[in-house]
Amino acid sequence: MNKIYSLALLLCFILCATPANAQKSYPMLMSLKPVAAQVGQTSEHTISSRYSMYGAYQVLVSGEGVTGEILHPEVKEADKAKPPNLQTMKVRFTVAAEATPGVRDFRIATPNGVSTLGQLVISRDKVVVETDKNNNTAENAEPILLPAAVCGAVEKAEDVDYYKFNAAAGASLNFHVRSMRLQNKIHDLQQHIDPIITLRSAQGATLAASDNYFYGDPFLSHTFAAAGEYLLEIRDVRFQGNKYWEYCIEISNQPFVTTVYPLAVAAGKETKLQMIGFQIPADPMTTINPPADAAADAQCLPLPMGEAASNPVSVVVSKLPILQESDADNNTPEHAQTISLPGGVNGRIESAGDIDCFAFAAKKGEKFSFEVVARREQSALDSHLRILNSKGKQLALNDDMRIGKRSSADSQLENWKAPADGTYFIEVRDLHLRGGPAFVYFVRVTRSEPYFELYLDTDKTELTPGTGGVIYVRMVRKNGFAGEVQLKIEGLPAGVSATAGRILAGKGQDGCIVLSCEDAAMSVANITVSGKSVLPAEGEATPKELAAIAAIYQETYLPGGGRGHWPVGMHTVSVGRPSDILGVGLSAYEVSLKPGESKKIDVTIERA
Amino acid sequence: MAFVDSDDPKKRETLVDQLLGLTNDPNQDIYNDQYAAYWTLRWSDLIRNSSKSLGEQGMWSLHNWIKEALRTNKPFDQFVSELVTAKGSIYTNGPANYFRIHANPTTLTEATAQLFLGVRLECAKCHHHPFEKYSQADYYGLAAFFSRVGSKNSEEFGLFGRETVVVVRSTGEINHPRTGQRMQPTPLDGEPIDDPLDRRLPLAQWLTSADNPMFSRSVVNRYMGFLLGRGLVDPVDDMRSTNPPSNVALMDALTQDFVAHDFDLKRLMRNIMTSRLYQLSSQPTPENNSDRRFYSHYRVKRLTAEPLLDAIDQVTGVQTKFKSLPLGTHAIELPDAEYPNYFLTTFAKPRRVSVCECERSQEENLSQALHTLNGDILAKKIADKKGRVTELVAAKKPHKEIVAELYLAALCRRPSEAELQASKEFLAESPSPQEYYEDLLWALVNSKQFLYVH
Repeated sequence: MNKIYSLALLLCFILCATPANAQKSYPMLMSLKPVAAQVGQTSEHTISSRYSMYGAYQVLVSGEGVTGEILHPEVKEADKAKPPNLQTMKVRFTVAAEATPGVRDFRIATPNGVSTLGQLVISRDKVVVETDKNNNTAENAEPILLPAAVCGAVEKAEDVDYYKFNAAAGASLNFHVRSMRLQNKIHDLQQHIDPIITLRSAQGATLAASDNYFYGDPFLSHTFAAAGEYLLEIRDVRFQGNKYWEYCIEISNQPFVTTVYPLAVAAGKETKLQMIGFQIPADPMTTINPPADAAADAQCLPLPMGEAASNPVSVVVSKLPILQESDADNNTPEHAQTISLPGGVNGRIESAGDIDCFAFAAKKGEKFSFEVVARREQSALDSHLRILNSKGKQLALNDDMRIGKRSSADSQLENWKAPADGTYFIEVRDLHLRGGPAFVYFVRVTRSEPYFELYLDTDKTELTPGTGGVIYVRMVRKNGFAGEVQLKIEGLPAGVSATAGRILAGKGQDGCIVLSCEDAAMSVANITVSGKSVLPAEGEATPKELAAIAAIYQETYLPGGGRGHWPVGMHTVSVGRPSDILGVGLSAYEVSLKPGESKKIDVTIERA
Repeated sequence: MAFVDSDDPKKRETLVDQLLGLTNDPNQDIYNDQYAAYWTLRWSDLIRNSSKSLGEQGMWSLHNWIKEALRTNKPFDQFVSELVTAKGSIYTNGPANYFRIHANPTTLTEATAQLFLGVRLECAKCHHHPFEKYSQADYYGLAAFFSRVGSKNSEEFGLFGRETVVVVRSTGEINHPRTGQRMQPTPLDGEPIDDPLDRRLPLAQWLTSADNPMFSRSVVNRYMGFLLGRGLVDPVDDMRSTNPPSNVALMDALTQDFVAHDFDLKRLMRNIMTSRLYQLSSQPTPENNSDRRFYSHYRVKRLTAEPLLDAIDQVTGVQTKFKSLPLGTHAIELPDAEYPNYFLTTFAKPRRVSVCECERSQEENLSQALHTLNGDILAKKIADKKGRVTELVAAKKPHKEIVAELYLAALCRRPSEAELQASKEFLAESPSPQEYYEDLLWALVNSKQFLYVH
């Protein structure tokens, strides 16, 4: 093993020594009440956590336009010597008028480190908070005015929450629930809600119900035949409950867009999109024009709808040449539409049993990677992807793909190699032979070239003055990439320095970044870890620079034990208050060893 | 009381329409949820919906799908078609759970044939059917339709979701166990049919076709059995040439109407419930006393476990609390197979281990009789301080009113003069009015008029 690498590992191990008195954990956020805040408003919320949030000094919120402020509780003088175990705390969120609706991640920075993630829904509608704990029967339904983002909790087993509202004859309302989707990033919530909503007449008769529309969360769109009072019921489908099971039900008569067609647009090009969803205007078309320098990625954008804007919708921006599926029949290879590679194709599985075929030419040995982008961007499609030869024989098949540590219903065939010169076919269908307006997709076809992906399997690094830490970076080599990757870290808090390592060439898959914190004040910042490599060129070709930004995963407790990892958007480095370990010193900082040799290093720990 | 007091010659028909939600008047169509709840219970028994095999979320997903289908009166051919071709998430798509309950082609074959064709095919799995024409080839030809159903895991319900997705694969075959011959998917009495993407599609088309009398007749027969206590063919799911209907013309007429009206279950039920047959007295004559087949008199049948418990709760004014369900949930609304409830177990609530209608036994037994006569569940409900009797006594209503209310609640009629007179005499002999009225209610609940549909 490389001697410098082994020293770096040793250093990491020592500097990561957990302070002896830090049996105080960082806070683990469990819930936020209410779980939603309105655009253009300032509102107070209560955070619940495991482990104390006492001394919290900053709120970090993902994205733009939302800020948080700690509302410090009054602490009596007598209690200041022994800090209280503060597991509930108020915070004030301010949402700018131009803030994009949707879900934001947030954390609390405390002297014991930065917390795990919480989630906040930003809604266009006025937030109405469940106040009546006796609203468990239709008779005691809590009255609400619409439109509203109704926030409450299914706080115990058999809890059922009822709300009553008035609707006019012919009125159409959308009921969009967020609850289960707010729980995957909660670190220690080992049981998740599965909500179901039911619309009832004033007499209690069922009008409509929804259980699982957006994964585990319901969505209903209903037109009321008669004017009058109506009831909305929400509960866990199993009649279970948990004091941390918050929900937000956005009830509105505004259009709700679930997806668009085409799904992908070219950067720098104005494109007309058909909006698909509920209460969509008679003219469902809108236009977007991503800037020419827009990143090639999926973006969640509000779409222009006359003078208003829609809810944020996923649109894929691509720099590939894009083919639009024609209206002609392309259900079989004989009628396939031709695509040039590399390129992308926008398509839709129009009806049940529809199959889309696209023809392409390839020379023997050419390698391509095919990827269906659909379900992860809220299409209804569970894609089934095949590559066929000119006789219609299957050469490759994929149903579900891996994206980092998780699987997706989208499909991917990487590094497919043409066996001979000829014409081949891409075949896309729905796995379950469904189809319809919402079954949109974008197939991305690129030449298979070596590349790499990086990820971090932690989402926070907690430092104290005089100590250090390490961020492990994992790499996945793709398409034969064998090079070395130099890691880099940006955005560190003041007073924190880093030594970014390398992931060695060959089969190396792990690297690390060592952080040290000499004498910094309490601070916190979200960092970015990236890696660069150079792909050697053959002959007179120019070497190509490869780069990747590390994806971030949060560790989550699994029921019954064990850990899972869920993708999150921020890795936060924090500097907490000094712990009982003030410094760590070594008797030697450079060691040179021959195989079979060993050397003793003395470690000195300076304690408070 | 409005029904009892009405002399409208059409009052029964009107009541049937109200109960089935067919009046087109929202103020009268107020029983649809209860209708959906009860028939969901019956179909969940047959389809074998149980958290033991599906987990809670799968069980609820299937339950809610069945209930919504019945609440909206989905055409029954569509219901069955969706069930036998179901795919996708077991949480998002309730009927996909059918393929977890019956996890291999042979159990799917037997279940589907018995449920929706009224054919008991199990014997033909190993040998030629002893009473019917079906051979092993017929059995495995039908099984071949299900040979490509599989499943995959999914993470769309998050880390804890443990979601399963039912999928159809492109390969998978069934071989004849004796000859080894690869079996082509073949419907009973039919020619091989296939589909390159999902073999179950042509199966569903054949199964629910208007031209497939086995399907429509089996549904008609089952509902005759539900409502009249015995099907035109008995057992209801054992329809074969050697077990013909007791009235072929009636079977044909009901079936034709059922098919002609898009397999409308509510219409079928209305046809039966507004018929002269359904409204016959249960009192036999000497001439028809021994008839058990030809509906010469209404066939008395005991209330089944769940409606009986709900009726007791309603009469006593004390609701049963079921585990993990809020108070106020009726027994007919129970979604799962088993609950730790002694009453339901004693009165033979099925555990949903079989698709046979016979799993819900209608046979009375001594335990049941002793339960209502001596059991403390009923006794406690009758004597409950918040129960009907206590409230009536506390309200100091006149004796005649109390007795009338108890009779109406229990037997849906007023007491006769003789019964009223007897009640006065018994009241005078009782230590207290509370004790008397509790005894009266106990007697009413243990009467045949309460326990049996007559």
